[in-house]
Amino acid sequence: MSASLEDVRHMAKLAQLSLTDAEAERYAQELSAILAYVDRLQQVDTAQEQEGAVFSEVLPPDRDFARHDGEMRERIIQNFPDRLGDLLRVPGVFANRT
Amino acid sequence: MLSGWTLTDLARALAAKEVAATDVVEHYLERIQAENGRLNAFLSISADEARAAAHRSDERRLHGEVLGTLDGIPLALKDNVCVQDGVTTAGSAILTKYRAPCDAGVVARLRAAGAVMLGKTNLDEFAMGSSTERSAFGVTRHPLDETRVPGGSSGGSAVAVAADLAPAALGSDTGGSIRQPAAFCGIVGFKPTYGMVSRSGLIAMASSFDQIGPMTKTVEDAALLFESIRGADPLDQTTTERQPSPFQPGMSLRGVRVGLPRQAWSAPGMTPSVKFACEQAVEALRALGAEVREVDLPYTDEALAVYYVLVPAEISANLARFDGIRYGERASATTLAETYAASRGAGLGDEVRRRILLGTYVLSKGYVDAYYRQARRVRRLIAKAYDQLLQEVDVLVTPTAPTTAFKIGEKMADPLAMYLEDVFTVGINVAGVPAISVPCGREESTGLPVGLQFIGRRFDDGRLLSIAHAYERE
Repeated sequence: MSASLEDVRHMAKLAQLSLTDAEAERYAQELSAILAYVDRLQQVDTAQEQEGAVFSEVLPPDRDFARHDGEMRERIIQNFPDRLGDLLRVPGVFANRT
Repeated sequence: MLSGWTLTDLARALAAKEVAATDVVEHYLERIQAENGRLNAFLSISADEARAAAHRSDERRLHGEVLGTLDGIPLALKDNVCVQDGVTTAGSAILTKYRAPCDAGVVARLRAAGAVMLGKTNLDEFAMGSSTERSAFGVTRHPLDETRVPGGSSGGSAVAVAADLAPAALGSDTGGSIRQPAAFCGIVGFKPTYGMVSRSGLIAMASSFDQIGPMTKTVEDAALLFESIRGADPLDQTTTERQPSPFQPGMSLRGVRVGLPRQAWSAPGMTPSVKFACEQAVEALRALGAEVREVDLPYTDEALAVYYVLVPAEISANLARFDGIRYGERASATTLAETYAASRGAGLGDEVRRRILLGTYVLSKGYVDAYYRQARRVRRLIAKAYDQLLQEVDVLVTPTAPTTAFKIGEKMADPLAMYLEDVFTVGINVAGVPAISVPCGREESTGLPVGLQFIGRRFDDGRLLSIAHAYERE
């Protein structure tokens, strides 16, 4: 399997990554080399094997959701790249689209 | 005084009141001041907080209220472990100013034990790399040769301990990121059984592979630090309530069954000097009474392939949150979609983007069955192979890395060449079993350290540490 330039551009779109033309070409080559290596997995007979969780036991979740006011809330808010009071400001979802 | 001291030495001296915690912290702050400019092991140092914490420790000791063995002892933390009172960057430009709202689970435990947080150490960006060259904040230099890498991704923590800027540190290990830099720098690095240590507050790379673990001068120290950080955590559902086997420092190696996986020891690309040093170490195990034999570890080649399918897949999911919106650096752009793309394009480095693209590919429609699902099935085969082999023997032994510390820049041109550095370490994360790297001598020509890796049974962490300790004692 190899990755074409078109594949890489499509993956970049799915992964919300902006790439220059030069980067896209380089990644296509590098990904192709890596995919050629991992292709050996196709030779392994896994017909008898299930997919599920391999080895971790899962703890029951902590359903006791605590409301966080005061300091914790302020620490989260102070990380906002753009804030208006206590509100997170973002570009509009439908704004400026052509 | 204090130079080269282990955690055990410090704990003894503090308990005997030969030294105060405030003196200890000043000693390491001076060491950092003297050497960090040259080595770039630490990205940030919390000097004031460390002094205050040391002072509180001395007060507790004065009033007979010591919290435990680690009370007053300073530690370094890899900068993908969140702390509340400082910046956590994960080695990435996108998190240059990020301040976590709370401590990671391991940090909370260490604080409760009275340990003092010295600062955060350098790493490959988001823990993706084997050399610390992928940090957005410069490479960390090998203490014995500044033209060489310390290994990665926990290179900063490895150098902090090797250069005695801290008596011990925490690293994280997804495919060898504790063990390989430990081997390169001549210290001990331990990756516990998956689920033993909470990943709450560890900036996630690959959630079913990541584990936090100790990087120390001795195995005894690694056991002490492991005991302080391990345990089930309701904030991390993948932690286990199962207890590890206990650490027995005096354990003899007589009758311990050691397996040497043929596929590891005859791997191409292993430098002869590394093989020689590790073979000498195996002779030492024999001399100590261990029953050593060659074994067959199936799917060794496939383990690296499984790793480079599943880990990028998990990375692509875990790094979706870094979009410049709620935290991190936001690039300005016209539309919302362009804001995501520009923020991620500018803020995320080359290796990170490569792995996100690879992960997106193996999860995408048309490829997910052939790659991701197949890799998950092969992973089960590999885990079972390890479990089965570790019934026939008590421990597996391999060299930790195929080479000693390489030159800065040497492996950057070819990503696949860098990935192959992990060939002896990734299988362990694929299977979820514990493993530890212990120094086993120096390469004759360069004087660079070589590490020997011991691999144990799932949940048998204590016995694994005991075996490694028995070797180290010699």
